[in-house]
Amino acid sequence: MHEIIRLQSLSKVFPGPVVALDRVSLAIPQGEWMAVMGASGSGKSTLLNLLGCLDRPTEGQILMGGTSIGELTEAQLTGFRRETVGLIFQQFHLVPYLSAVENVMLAQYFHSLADEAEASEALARVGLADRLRHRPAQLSGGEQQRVCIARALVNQPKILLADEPTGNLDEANERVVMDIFQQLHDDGHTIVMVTHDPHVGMLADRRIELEHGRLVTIHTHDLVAAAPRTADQS
Amino acid sequence: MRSRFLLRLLQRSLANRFSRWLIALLAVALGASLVSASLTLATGMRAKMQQALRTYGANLLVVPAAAPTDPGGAALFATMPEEVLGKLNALRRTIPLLGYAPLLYTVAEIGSHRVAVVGTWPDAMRRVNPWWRVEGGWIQDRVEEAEAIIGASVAERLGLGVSAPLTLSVRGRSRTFRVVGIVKTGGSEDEQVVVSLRAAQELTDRRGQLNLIQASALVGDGRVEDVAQALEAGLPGVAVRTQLRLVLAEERILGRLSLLLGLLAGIVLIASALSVGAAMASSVLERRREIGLMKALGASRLRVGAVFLAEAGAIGLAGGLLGGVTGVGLAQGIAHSVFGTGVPPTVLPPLTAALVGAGVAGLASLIPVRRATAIQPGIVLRGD
Ligand SMILES: Nc1ncnc2c1ncn2[C@@H]1O[C@H](COP(=O)(O)OP(=O)(O)OP(=O)(O)O)[C@@H](O)[C@H]1O
Ligand SMILES: [Mg+2]
Repeated sequence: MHEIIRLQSLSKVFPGPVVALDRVSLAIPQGEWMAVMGASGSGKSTLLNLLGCLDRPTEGQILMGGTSIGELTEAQLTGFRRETVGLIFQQFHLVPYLSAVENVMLAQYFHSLADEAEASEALARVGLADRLRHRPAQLSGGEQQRVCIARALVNQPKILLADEPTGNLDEANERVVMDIFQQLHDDGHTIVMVTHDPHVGMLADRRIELEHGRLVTIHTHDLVAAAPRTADQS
Repeated sequence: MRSRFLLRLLQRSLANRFSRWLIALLAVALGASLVSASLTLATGMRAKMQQALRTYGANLLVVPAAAPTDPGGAALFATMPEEVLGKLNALRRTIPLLGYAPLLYTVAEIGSHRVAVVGTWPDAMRRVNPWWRVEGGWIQDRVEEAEAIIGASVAERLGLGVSAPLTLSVRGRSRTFRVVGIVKTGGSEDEQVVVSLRAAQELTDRRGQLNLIQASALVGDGRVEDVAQALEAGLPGVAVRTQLRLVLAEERILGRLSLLLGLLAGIVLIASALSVGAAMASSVLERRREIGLMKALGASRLRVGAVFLAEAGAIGLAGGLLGGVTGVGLAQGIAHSVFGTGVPPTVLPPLTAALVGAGVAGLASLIPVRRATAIQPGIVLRGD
């Protein structure tokens, strides 16, 4: 399958120094649903932030759809992020004084044009047609996360990045959100999802595992029993 | 379309933090009110003075020499003998006088009301003040002693119409007149009753006396001063005041007043800039995640900056408008207490004040907004 993301020996070192990512190499084919797993502090969010163009690698390369992210200026990076990725956060990051539909319109506004009908449609797709005018505080956690998903989807990004999308949800809401992810996957979206929940991870096509910033194992759905391939050179 | 959502965003965001913006808004309003008041006074009063100069520019007041310089004061009741009129008439051969009218003032009682009464030569008064609008007619002639023209405000206050009887009393002496006309000028004439000079002299028991002579000279602006000096030389015991002299004195007061208001406005605007800047800085600090989110959604530095500057501008504009309108009222109060007259309200000063308010708020926000645009989304959006 056509590959949409390629990481080449990607490292991220925070001042400290903390090596959050240590020479990670990885290819993600278009349309894949990949789960990033690992213990707390293993570098999952760091990886996702790099994929989301929210941060820059210390070393190594990220190629997305043929573009080398490292060479972009800040403004170009912002533009690339706007056109390419949709972000879903564990903490939702909804604007508290805007209604559900306005939160979705905000993403449209910064992308191109705010269109209320289209934003409502995006919310309807995640089952929130009757919650358009509610503020985040008037929505349940699951509903807030669905607003967040609608917001990430409304500009039709090539890649969906989700950091612990079910981390703040109970089991019922987790199922609702994962059903939506399943649907998005069936529709052909490329999804990179961070999770520490094995059940959630099992839904993905493939799971990678990080340990102290290093890629230690890659599991594919149909090769669960296969010997884990060590990704670093030690 | 794009700006329509921006408006919605502003409205929501400002409503959400309104209480925290209120102080800054009021500070801007205060500064803007001073700007607006100062501009309203400067332009309005100057226009008024210029109009007065144009209208009365060639007018002169001949008063008893002893009278202090304030024409509105009690000293108006100092008198001079009627013979001055004869001498003045003789001077017409050498001085280009268009006309002149003697005036004798008093305050009379009408029942329980008190009104100013002016005795004059009706024909001369009419010639010197051709713009007076009189409903009804004029007093017949100089010797007519039973007709009166009353000011519009007096007519309204006393419920008098044309041909109504009117009894004036001064220190126990009473005379009854018939109202023949009602004058409306928008000025002090509206508060007066005009009768013939003869009647006023009889009423006040001051035969052969007058308070002042209103004269108009047929000269250009610059030459009025020469005429005034020639009159003072030819008429011993009188002083001549020109409208120009009065206007120049008022101009000086106005100049100082505007300067003072302007300085005050500057100081208050600096204070309000600090207030807006502080409010914006705390807004940016509290909304770091929101800003990070905007950037994560693909907002460029410019777009983020525009959103915050628009908020500052809206607060500045609102405060500026509020202050601008208040300032017009303030100018009225100052004009009344300093110049004893209102000032025509115009749109430009409050509008300018509103723009100044928006500008000051925008400038004051530049530093905190710059900080907002530099926020790194990756850092502020990290989970805790
Ligand atoms: N901005 C930063 N400055 C310094 N250290 C950082 C920064 N961001 C992350 N780190 C460190 O990098 C390491 C990886 O962090 P990261 O957030 O990627 O972990 P994670 O796998 O997402 O953990 P969790 O499951 O708890 O979310 C951690 O040790 C963290 O403290
Ligand atoms: Mg994390």
